[in-house]
Amino acid sequence: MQVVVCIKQVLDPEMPRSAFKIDPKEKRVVPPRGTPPVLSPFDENALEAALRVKDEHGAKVVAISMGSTLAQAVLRKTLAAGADELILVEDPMFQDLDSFATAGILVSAIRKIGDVDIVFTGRQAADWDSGITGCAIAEELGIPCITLARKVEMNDRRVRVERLSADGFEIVQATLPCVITVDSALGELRQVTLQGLSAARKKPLHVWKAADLHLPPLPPRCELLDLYIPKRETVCEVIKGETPEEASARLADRLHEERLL
Amino acid sequence: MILDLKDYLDDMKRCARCSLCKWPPLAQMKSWRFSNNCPSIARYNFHTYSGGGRMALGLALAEGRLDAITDELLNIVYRCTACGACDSSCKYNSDLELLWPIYSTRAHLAGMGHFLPEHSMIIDSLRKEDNTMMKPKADRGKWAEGLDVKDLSKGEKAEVVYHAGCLYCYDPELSPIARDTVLLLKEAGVDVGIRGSQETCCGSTAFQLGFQGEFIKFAESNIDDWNAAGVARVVTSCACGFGIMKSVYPLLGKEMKFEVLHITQYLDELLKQGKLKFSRSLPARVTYHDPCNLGRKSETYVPWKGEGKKVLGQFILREPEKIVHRGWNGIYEPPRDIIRSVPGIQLVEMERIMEYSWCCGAGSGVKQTMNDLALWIASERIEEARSVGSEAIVTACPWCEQNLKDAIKAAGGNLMVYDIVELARQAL
Amino acid sequence: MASMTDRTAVLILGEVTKGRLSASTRELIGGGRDLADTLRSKLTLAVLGDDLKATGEEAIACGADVVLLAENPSLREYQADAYLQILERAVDHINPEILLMGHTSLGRDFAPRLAYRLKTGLSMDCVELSIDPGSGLLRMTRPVYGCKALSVMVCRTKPQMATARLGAMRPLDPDATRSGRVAAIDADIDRSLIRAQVIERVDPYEEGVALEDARVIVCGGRGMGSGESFGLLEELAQLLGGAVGASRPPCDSGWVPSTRQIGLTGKILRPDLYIAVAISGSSQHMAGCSDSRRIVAINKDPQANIFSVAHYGVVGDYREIVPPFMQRVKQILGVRERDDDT
Repeated sequence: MQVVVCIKQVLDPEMPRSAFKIDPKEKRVVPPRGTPPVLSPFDENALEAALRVKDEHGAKVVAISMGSTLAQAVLRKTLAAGADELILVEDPMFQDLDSFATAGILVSAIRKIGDVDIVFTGRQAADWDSGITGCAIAEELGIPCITLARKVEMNDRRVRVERLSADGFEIVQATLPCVITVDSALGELRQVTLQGLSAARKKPLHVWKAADLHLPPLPPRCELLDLYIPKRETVCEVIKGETPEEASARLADRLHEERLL
Repeated sequence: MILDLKDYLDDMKRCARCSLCKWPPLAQMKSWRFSNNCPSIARYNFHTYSGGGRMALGLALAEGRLDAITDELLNIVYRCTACGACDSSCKYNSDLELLWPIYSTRAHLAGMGHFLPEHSMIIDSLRKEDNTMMKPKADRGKWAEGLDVKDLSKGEKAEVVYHAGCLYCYDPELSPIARDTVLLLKEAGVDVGIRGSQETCCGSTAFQLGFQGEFIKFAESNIDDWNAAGVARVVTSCACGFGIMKSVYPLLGKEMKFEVLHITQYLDELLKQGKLKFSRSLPARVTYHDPCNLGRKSETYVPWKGEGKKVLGQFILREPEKIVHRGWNGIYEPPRDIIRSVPGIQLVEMERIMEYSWCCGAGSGVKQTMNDLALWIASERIEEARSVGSEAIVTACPWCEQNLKDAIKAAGGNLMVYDIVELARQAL
Repeated sequence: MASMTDRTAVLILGEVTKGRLSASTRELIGGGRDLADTLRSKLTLAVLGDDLKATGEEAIACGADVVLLAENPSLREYQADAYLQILERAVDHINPEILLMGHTSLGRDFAPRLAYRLKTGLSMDCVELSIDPGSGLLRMTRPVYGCKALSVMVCRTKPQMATARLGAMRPLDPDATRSGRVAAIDADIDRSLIRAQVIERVDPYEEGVALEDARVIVCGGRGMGSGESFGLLEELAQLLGGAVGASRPPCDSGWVPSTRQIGLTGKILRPDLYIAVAISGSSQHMAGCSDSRRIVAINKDPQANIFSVAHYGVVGDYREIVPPFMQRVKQILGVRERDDDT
């Protein structure tokens, strides 16, 4: 059995606030100095989902990441956590792509890998927050897609996925192969250990360029007109007191004044 | 305040490859055996490992002349404890910055996503558990269990806060020293408190490894917390923590409403004020190891921005004048005064002391990621301590202590290692 | 099948819950009305479901010109493959300029698939939609980077697709005098194309006010420390007649069910009063509550980001602030009750 996890390398969503700046001409976030890019957090949950399938069913886990400049040190974490193989789909032309083009390229890579039973992705990437790529991959491959998974079980050639719904959760069933997008409710990626790190050094790492894949035409569908940081204009009234009791009472009084209680 | 490698282009270009960075100044050398001062080149023997070599490397990186960042390059960059000996030696003779281009090179690489895989474990631990030891945050306060001391995290107020540091909090062999420190301060009548489980890392390891973003988050959070707690003094017994708080925290541009002290400064002050008295005699021949971060690396760095004019074809006149910190004003005398105050003790000095001290080998992630290098560096220091006939090494940093002890154990020796606080407590 | 010769520029996929149009759908009709008027054309609402008798009338009163209903027992619950068949046919006939749906549980799951099939672009979770006066294209503003920034997109392919965040548009006041046309559309489904089945739905009944309806929300964060401590918040919520929510960490840690999650990947709400207890105020969380009328923050970290977005704040441990706060509220409300009696 073979599962693929699509991992996106993103600018660190936890970079210090002061470091988050936008270049208005390039319409891009300026990569902060001294803060390396990271694996998109929901993709780490996706990797955890894949590793659990490996633990329970002995599947081979292949991590793939697509981008114009990929940091090997950052992506090797997938191998250190337990993935068996890492494929970097790297090419300067893979810059500023929308979700559909991204899905197209990932699908070419998945087809090149071949014999894939499940494709795991995070529910949305921490930079663009669209949540489109997973479903687009499934549609391109003509296979079912189950979104917002918080638990994945398998029986024969069928998956049984617990997914989040607005008012609770649902259990959805589908036959393999399929795509599953993963939510953080599934659980955090397991801790990387020193053994994992040394094992990672011996695991295969391949780099594929655009020329190595049979890429279909991928015309851009949307255009970015502007990217900006909105101005916040709330002034917080901090309510103080000699004691916590006094401050709390003052807060209640203040809210009562504003007819909020 | 984020390091920019391009700020140091001038410094890196002006390295004349004189190789002074590899040795203490000639006038300070006492023997051929202990004439190295850069552990990195002493071990690996290629110019790139020395301070000057790192300047050349940084320059190539800044000017985009490196074709690829290979694993070998990263090994070269990180096989260095960032001890600053090269910086002090170079500045004996010139006004070039050496240590800060080294830091900036690492920050530059980290920003591009290049670092050793082992570093990601340390950084992940910082992000998830607020410490570099890969231990749970909830256990941070355990070292102080049963200790009768004010806990600022529970709303109590104190004039002085004791910052234990990740290593003292989580290493059961070393935490008794933290407890002793608190007891010492209390005995001297200091109104001291701790932050218990709310304490977080000082950010020193993140800074030295180049993870500036992480460092800024921890540093700003600590400054805010100490300001909010209303403490007048922050005292720590970890030299690495002290070094970073003293030399780098002020660069963040945040008001620090407190004074930062190392325990040796505080104990020295208390002894001189008569609030502590050493009455027991401890006859022993000991030597003092200057931790890098307490000594040469504890001066506040002042980044220089201005104009440099070439005069007479080669001399640079800087407008405004560049203030150069050469490591001469580190904390050297207070620990020695404390040791000398212990009755019966005989303090002998090693050859490489004060600003030319030989690193213990633990700094900047080397202990966690390259233990064999750390142990080799420590073994050199232990040789030096033996050569002056000392029975024990006294030092003032838990990382130095841990590494020196590990090296002695590995070699099967019997040299003792004491923290100043241990000595002080025994002498009371 | 009804003739679809009316030129519709704006097509909305609506949702019906318990026989009525959902709040999101009513907002979409209100906003869509604006867009259609600007483009001088019609607004069409499409709804799929099983018993949509009252839907047509309701939708027209809310502002739709044309209401297309696909009724089929198999459509009682949303299923992606079934919806795709019907919508692909409908869009092919109607050929709208713009296709909108709510950024709801359905919209999140369906919009990407439909956009793929229609070979068109899609902007998810838009907070603002307007027609660009120069190009006539739909300007879609959506938050990115965990809501730290806003991006403005246009789509060069047709239909221009977007999902709208709840609250991004305003519903119109229902006007029964409005006129419009209701028609049935082909609701046939080829069951062999259904690729995933929901075999169980678990909607745990939770007592008290629903988050979406609550005028007051008390929300707890990572700083609460445990699931048990949420009991205090439940008390406070009950006292104020509100509901309890949580930021992501308590949900991920299993302290509270995920249905209580408020934030970018949870619920986005606009109560009158939002009390954030032990919440740091990350932008992902604030996305879920920043449009509240008044935000109160209780946190022991004076530098927490929540204090730069809240209207009122008290710095302190929630264990020391919330109980006396409740005491005082009881007194205040008690006083009110006595006044009512006299």
